[in-house]
Amino acid sequence: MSARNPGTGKDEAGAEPARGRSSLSRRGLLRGAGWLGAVAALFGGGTALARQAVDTAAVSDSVADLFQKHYKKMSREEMQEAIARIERRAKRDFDVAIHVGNEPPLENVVFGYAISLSRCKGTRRCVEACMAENNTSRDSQIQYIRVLELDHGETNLTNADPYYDGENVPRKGKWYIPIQCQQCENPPCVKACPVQATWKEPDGITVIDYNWCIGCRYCQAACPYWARHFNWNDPKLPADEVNVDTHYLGNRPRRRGVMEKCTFCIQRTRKGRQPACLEACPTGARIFGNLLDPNSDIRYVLENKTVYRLKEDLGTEPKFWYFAD
Amino acid sequence: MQRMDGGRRPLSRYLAALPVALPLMLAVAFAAVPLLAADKPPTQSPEEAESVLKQIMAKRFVVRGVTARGQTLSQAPPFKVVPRIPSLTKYPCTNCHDNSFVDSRVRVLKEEHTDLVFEHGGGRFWCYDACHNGKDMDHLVSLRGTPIDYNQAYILCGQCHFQQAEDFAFGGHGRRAGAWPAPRDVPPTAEHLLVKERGKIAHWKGERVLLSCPACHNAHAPAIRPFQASPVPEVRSGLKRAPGEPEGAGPFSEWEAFSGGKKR
Amino acid sequence: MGAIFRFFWDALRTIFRGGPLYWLWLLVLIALVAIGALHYREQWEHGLIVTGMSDQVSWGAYIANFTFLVGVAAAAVMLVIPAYIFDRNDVREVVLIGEGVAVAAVVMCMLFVTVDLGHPERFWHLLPYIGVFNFPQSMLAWDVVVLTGYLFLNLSIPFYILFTRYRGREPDLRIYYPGVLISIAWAISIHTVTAFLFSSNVSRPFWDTAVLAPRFLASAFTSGPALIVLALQVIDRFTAFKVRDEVIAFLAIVVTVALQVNLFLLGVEFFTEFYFASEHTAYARFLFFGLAGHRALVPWIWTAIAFNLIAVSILSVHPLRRRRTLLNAACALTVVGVWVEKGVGLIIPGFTPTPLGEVFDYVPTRVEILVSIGIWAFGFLVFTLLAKVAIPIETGAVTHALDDAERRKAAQAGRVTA
Repeated sequence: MSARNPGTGKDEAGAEPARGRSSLSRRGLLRGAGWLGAVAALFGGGTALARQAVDTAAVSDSVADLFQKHYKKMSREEMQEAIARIERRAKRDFDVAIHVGNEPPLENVVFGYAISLSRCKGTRRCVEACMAENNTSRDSQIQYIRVLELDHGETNLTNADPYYDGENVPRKGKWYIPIQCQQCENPPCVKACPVQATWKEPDGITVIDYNWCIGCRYCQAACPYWARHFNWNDPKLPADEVNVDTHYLGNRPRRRGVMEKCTFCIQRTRKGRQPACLEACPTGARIFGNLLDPNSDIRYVLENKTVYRLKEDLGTEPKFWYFAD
Repeated sequence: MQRMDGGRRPLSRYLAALPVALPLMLAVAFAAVPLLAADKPPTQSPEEAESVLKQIMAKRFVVRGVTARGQTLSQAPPFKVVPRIPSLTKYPCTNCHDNSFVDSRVRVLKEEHTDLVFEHGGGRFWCYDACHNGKDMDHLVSLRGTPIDYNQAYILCGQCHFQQAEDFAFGGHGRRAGAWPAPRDVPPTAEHLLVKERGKIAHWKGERVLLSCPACHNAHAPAIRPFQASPVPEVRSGLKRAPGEPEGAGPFSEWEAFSGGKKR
Repeated sequence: MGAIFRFFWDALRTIFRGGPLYWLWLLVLIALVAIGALHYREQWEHGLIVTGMSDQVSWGAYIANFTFLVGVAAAAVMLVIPAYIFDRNDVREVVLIGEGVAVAAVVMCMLFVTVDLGHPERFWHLLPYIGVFNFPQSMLAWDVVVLTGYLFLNLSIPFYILFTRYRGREPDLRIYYPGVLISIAWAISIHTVTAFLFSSNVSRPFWDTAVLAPRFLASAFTSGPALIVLALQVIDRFTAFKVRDEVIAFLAIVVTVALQVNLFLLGVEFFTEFYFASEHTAYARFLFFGLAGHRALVPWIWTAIAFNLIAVSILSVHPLRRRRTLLNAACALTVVGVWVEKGVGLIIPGFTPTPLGEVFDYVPTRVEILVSIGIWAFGFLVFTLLAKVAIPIETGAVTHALDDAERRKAAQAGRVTA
């Protein structure tokens, strides 16, 4: 092709290009047909494969899930339908009848948590209890609580060891600190989420709508406490280990591709019960209660013990304190 | 020397001794009376003791209050304690013990209570010195001699361990009754945890039901023993942790070098 | 409207018209895209567990490539500014190529983010009113806005220009000049917003630095024009579109200065991280020297720095920069060096050690690598097709100027004709 002047469109010889009548050459037609055929073949093969494993109820549930609204925007009926779908799916996946509650936050309650570092002996019972309570994936071992072992005199977390093998804990010369979601008053994860799939409830718990999360993991990058965990695959949970008392925003079964984290056992605490980690702690190192109640255990600890919070300089205002007594 | 009156002592001589002897006898009499009366000291009934104590305590100047808000122990939020007696296998003690016979010798027990390990107090006290009530074996006894029920052992422990007692009363120490067992009720291994016992789950709201001290601390050897920790956390399925090397030396290494300790 | 349909029809015909080399190139790209798509299907089936990402290092190859490509997309502004602000007509001739690169880069960015999502089908959650859009709080929401806007700008303005040229007329500057001005500011903003995406995280001290946005822009304006220099020479060699030497020389200077600024900012970071070793510098120590026995990234970053230093040495010396082979080598080194520095050398150290002090190695898996290659191939495909359509229109080979009958009809209707 001779070079044409971009300005006038004429070539060196001064000729203008042929005025185009759109005509298809045979070659072009054949080529086009060939491409179309290839695409159609791929598509047809794909749908044929998909048709092999189809369960109508599951499909209609999946479609309804796809169009489910944000938790805060659902009407009462939509919420009940969403819960029914979750219960049906649990029946299909685990052959277990679960109950998904949706208890609202209690009035005049803001939860707070404290751990005594003198009494924590690194037994990791809290981790075990949390997994049993919250239906976390056993396969990818999602653990909301991380217990770190440090040398006495060491507070630098880079020198902490979460993988200590506790033949007999506490090991000599070590101290232990369990870290889970700090339920910040000023949570960076809530700010980061592009679809507001995570937010802070009036009782202070930062929750996730697992059906709204798109799985971008920006909140995981934003969290300074490594508290948020991602379902990299479908959670593997043996049917006999399923905890059937669940909450929509808490421990009801999740699917892959969404974030999850400690919710202060929202399915328990909104009914007045202690979180599972606290109940399981053999040394009574954990204290939990209502920060707005002046007679609560947590208020006593905050007022009478020397408490501190992790990474306080970041301004996240955690509702999780540590002390030694 | 020769006597002038022929051998008889005159009465005036004895009368002359009286000013000396009489005060002496009176002094001895006055001294003897309190000594003879020393067998019976003043007594006080327990109720009288309590009421006088209450009055004195009410008027005392509190240097350090129990809580930052100035509450005392009696102002702690109300709580109930789970009875401990049902867990005591050898209760009632009077099945064997006779409340009038007390053998308070320091010795190794060879006939009964042979599995008892005593590791409490570092030798500062023995069975009947601080806790057990020789005169009423079905109760414990306070340092002031008042009997304490076995279900309220926390009152006994709180005499020495007053900081823990205060924390216990206000909620900063101890455990509430719940489904997961206290350390003394199960062997310290990685037990499968009881999710199913829904009725026994502990509550933060409502009535406070606490476990008494011996539920977690063996009164004769209270220090909590080392546990077998639950398993090491795993990494994401499909990945493996690559072992690294320890980063640098520990926190005391520079000072240990001076004291001849090992540099890690 | 018939003209628009004819425009697209002619464009389609142009795409299918090419020599054997063109078809071979397309075939290679399509094969790579197909391989990538197959592996993405594996990821779709099993979830993101097929990647090497973990809770410890939760962003990897996908976001690394995304970060680099946002920079390349922004680099089109380095052609737009001289063309329209400084009235360099020689650069104006190649502006459309630059915008084609921008479109391809933005498309690649969007694809990389899509394959990184746990639930791509829930993208509609991002739409305002229908979904819940956390704007202006979330920096990721900002990123969605600026990238979509940038794509729109870089599709609409070139479309207008090409369409009017296709009709045999000159595009009216009054219509699209405001768009040009907006796109200049917008290009700077897409990469600043992407930098803010990282630097807004107080939890990640490695990213939480004010100098991150300037570093991003400097590295973008060196790697993007370097890629454009290489692309223009390919176009010059294989198509009828001739690129003037002055344009290449100008872009080479842009690459040079931006690379010098980039290396200066790297030096600034180096000083700040290593003058006084605090815990906040553990990340930089991991990247440059290894931490607790984990040294996986050390050879990568030092190679990248070496590439950049060699490139800047060549480019800073005029006689060397003017030699085409050396210039091309320097540009290639720059692209690779910045890709490593911005991808591997930014994302992974941000996560290592974790906020709880754990050092965990990240290694991309086969699936991740092949999907990434597939997306890169798709980007090249997009650029090839856009250039394939644009170049004949620019050179005038493909046009649909009005014929006499249509001209009369238009005159009667009062419309302006060619």
